[in-house]
Amino acid sequence: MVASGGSPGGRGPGGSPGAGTRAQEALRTSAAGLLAEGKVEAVIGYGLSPAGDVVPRFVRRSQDAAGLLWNDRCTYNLVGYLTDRDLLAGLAGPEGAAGADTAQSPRFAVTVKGCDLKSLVVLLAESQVRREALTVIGLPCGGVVDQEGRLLGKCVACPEEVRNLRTEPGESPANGPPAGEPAAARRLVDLVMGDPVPGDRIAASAPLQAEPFQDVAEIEGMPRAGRRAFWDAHFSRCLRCYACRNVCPLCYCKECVFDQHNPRWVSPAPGIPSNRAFHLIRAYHLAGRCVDCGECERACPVGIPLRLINRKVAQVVKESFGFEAGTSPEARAPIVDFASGDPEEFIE
Amino acid sequence: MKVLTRKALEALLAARVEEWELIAPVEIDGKSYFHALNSGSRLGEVTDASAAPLLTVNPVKEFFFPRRQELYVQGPEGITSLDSEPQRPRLLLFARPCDARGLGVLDRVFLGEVPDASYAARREATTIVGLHCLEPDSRCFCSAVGGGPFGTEGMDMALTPLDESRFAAEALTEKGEALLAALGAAAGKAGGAPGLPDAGEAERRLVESLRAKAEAAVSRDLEIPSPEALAARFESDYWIEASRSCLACGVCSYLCPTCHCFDIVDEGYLRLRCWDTCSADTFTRTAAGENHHKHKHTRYRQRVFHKFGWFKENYGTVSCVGCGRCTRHCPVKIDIAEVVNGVGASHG
Repeated sequence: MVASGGSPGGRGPGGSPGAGTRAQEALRTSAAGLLAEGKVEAVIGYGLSPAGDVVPRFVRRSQDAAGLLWNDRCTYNLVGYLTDRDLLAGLAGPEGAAGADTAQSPRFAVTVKGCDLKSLVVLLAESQVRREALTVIGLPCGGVVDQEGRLLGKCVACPEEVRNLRTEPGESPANGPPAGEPAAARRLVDLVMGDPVPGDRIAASAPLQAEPFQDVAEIEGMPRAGRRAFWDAHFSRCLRCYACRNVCPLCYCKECVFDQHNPRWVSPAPGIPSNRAFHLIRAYHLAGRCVDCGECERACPVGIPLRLINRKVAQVVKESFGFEAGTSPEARAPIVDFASGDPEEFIE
Repeated sequence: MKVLTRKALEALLAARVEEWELIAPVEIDGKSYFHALNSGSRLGEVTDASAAPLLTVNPVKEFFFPRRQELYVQGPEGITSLDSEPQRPRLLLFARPCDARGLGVLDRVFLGEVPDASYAARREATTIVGLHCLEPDSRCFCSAVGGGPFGTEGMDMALTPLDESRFAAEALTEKGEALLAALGAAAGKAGGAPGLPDAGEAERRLVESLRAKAEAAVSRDLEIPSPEALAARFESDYWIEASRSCLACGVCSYLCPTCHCFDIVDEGYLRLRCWDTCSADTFTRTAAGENHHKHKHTRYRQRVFHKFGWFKENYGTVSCVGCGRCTRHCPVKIDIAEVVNGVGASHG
């Protein structure tokens, strides 16, 4: 089905056309300004393809900023493009590429929804992107929809401070404020497009999941053999196309463990044992890092419920370490952190 | 042209379920997939599939060219060949015209100068019952690459749904004739007169009007550049632009009915053949570490040149049947038709 409707590609971010149009106009104006003033080499945002699909759009000339789009079909998390060095070098052109890794490294603007912003926070915490080379354009969001127009699972019960990008580092009760830094240096979003949007659609969907990890609990409530059968049935369809890994904003390793030839850690041939290994190892590598942006599940062509796996790991990290990924660029994930007072009971 | 009732088809399937391996579309979590049914457990769903959404997620190629094919195992006694040929005759039910044509493309590769024995055996064992498309969607461009929603190439028998309980059936090969006779006998046992009734004037007229409507619905055009025109664009920056948003995953090739690149992999003492994709960074990486396609745009170019240039030069046809799966399932909606049409329009 082609993503087309009354307005090009979908409804406004709050479900109402008016507010969306204003935010989209603000976005086009801001992007054109940033490009015209030479503040950024390119704006990474959403656009509409000739066939009527919402697609990632890389705008390099101010006159093309009018092609930027913002509505409820803008599902993609564009943050992943920020670690594609080849892509950024291409966008910057010959001069920009020459300036890479220097003080004059090229600057880019990226549009983010609140959920996407969390993955950017993790990239900042892991020193994968240079905040000073980035203009972050926030898009207040009332929920995004799939190709059939249904609200995405990740949008269900999305909190107000996330969807309206009020998440400021250090203000998260989960991880505590870092001390002694001026607020301006910790700013995450440079520009916010339009007004905060009401959460009517999200509120309407909230009863679908009363508890934060209810979906995980449902699987865990199954007998062991049932769980095994559930996952094997899903994993048996896995093509090992790696769409889940490649779309993941946090899978940025230059050489992925699944691509190594010598030694070959996991067979690249699909099969239930190798597919199980692939999905579980990937989940481990995202432990304390995954922000549940849901891109893996959206990208999977064969409908494997990948968010369930990642959310199980997120639940363990939260319960064991009191940590939630994507809340502060200063916080280190438990898996990469070291505490000298750690009893390390498991080593004995 | 005969008239086949759904009841007669169901009766034959039920009678032969132990004798045949049935490959047919079934629904899994709201999506349709071709699936090998080795028992009668899901038989009830099968004939409903003729009314199901247009295309399955997966093409039929995996039943002829498996995603994972165990070739041999090396043991103390030497090499033991593992690839088993089908033990039973196979019935592939409700292959769409693009799916059936896709096998014709694969035949040129696997049944050419050096036939692939396992592919040949799987083809030989299979009777293909095609299903015409009444409602092609905006992604379909079969007509632009030599096919059509009522095409019969590659089918042993073609079915056109007439209404909820009947198909127009046409045998196209000896295998199709044999199946038609078996269906006739099944109709007799099910209580009707033996043999299938000929289609009357009303049915023929209905088929023609359905055909005209379906053919008119496939409106997408494709301007396939000549091999010379393609070659002239080999070094163009067009490929960087066209593949900018590409995630370099394998969705497009693994869901393509005609992509046939494979890799040879060892799992311990087991040697096997599995699918490979030119999108992947590992595709042309050599054991010494050199990579002829370091950048995703040359890999994407490889895909387009292979399908629309080199394959045509080698085999006289493009290796694209216009099913549109690559676009439907692309996580960032790269549209191959748009890319191909853009080749002629690009300068540089």
